[in-house]
Amino acid sequence: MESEKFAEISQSIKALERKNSRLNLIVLVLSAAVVVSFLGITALRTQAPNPLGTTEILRVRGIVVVDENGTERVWIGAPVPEPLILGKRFPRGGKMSGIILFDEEGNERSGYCTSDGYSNVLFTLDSIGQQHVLFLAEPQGDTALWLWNGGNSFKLNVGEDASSMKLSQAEKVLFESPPARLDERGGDIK
Amino acid sequence: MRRLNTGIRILSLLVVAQFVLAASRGLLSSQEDSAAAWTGHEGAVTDVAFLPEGDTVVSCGLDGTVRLWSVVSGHMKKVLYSYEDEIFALAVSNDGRMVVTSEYSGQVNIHSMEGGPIRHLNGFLGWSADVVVSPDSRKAAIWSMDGDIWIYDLETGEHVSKLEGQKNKWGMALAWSADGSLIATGRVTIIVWDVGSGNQVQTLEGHKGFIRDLAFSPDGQRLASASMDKTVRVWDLGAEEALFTLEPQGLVIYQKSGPVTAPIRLPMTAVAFSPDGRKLATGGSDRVVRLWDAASGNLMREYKGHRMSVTAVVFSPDGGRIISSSLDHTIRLWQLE
Repeated sequence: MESEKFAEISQSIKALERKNSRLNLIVLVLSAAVVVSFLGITALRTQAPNPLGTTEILRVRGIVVVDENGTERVWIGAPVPEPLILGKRFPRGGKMSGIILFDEEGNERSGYCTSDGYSNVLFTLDSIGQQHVLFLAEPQGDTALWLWNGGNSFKLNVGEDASSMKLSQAEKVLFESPPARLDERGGDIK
Repeated sequence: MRRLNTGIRILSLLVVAQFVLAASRGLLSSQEDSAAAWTGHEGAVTDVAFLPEGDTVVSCGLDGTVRLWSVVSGHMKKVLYSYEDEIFALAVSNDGRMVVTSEYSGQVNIHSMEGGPIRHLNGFLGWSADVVVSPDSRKAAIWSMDGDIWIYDLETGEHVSKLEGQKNKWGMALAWSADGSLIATGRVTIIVWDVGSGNQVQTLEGHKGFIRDLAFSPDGQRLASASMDKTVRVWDLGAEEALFTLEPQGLVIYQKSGPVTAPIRLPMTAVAFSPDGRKLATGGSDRVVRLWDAASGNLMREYKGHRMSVTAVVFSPDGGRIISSSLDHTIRLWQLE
């Protein structure tokens, strides 16, 4: 009678040991799954785009913005294209890189650029086909602000040694100071 | 119900009032004597010409296409050629067999209207903003960026001669006289060349901006020039001076309150003599095509309809119509009275 009881207890213990082994295996598998999931989520979070887009960097030679008619209105480029004026392109006379604005007809009207070679940085405002405002800094530090329309102009130059100013109307000088310095710096840029 | 009817009446009155107000301010296109716009180009139309029979128009544009149009219907017949680059100018030979086009890529191409391969004109520097064909349909001339005028044989595509002497001076306007003896080039100064000798025979000074178009009168006695300086000048080649200067005032900017600017002057881009030499057509950035008396310089009529700058004007071979192209992507045909 006692031997039967012993055998029953022994079987129960073996059954419990098998159950325990299975439970250990399940815990191990679940633990591994949790670790893998955690690593996966961490990796995905690292690769996901920033909602603000601030971590993205575009490396391109140019970006062109067109309007609803397909007309190019903004060019960001290195270099920017030759100027388009009333359906024909002019030679720019050198490579420029920066931003160019165009009017609704596609005419170039403004630029904020650096030039290859002499390395000026400049800002221009144009009418259709002609420059009227030039704001310029040269690599050695000389700067200029010129405004003109036909024979009327205002020119302000600042150099390392001196500055100068000239106001003209109908191509006649109304005010100039100092006179000699302006002549040395060269004439009109029309 | 009565309240609804009153509301509809008030609404109708408001609509009519708006219509009258808008019409009085010139905002409605119905006030303009607009010719139908021929559409098809997918960009600015830069040049246009009639084929000699006068029933077909050929055009080119920044969309890189050369297109043929029916004058009767105003519909596009077909895209003659399509390129990847912008096309700035075209010229049609007087025999109607060839169309020559100039592209931003630097290609100048001769297209045969009868089919066959396209020939290319090579050797010059950069791109040419204009191209002209001699009256005998045997030669074409372009302006190289080194300043020389290169003349080619149209049949073979070979370079045959140069007009030299404008070193590094590049311009945008060329014209070939009707007798074939003279070529005019326009930068800011106009130079008239003897094609046979290659010599400069006249220099015409007066413009203060880049010249965009030139046209010899059919008798070769006068030359007309359209300039970015906002004027058109007609020159007496015998006297080497301007007979008269046209300074059209065109574009008026409107806002809801009415005109906000007086008519402003803008660059002139196109000029053409009528086949009998008695009329002159001009076009410019003010979007207006104008007809002038070529002897007196009196304005005869204005044709309004283009929504952007006019790029070219050409008379039909019978002189009864003018065709114009524009940066607004359209071509318009104007019937002269």
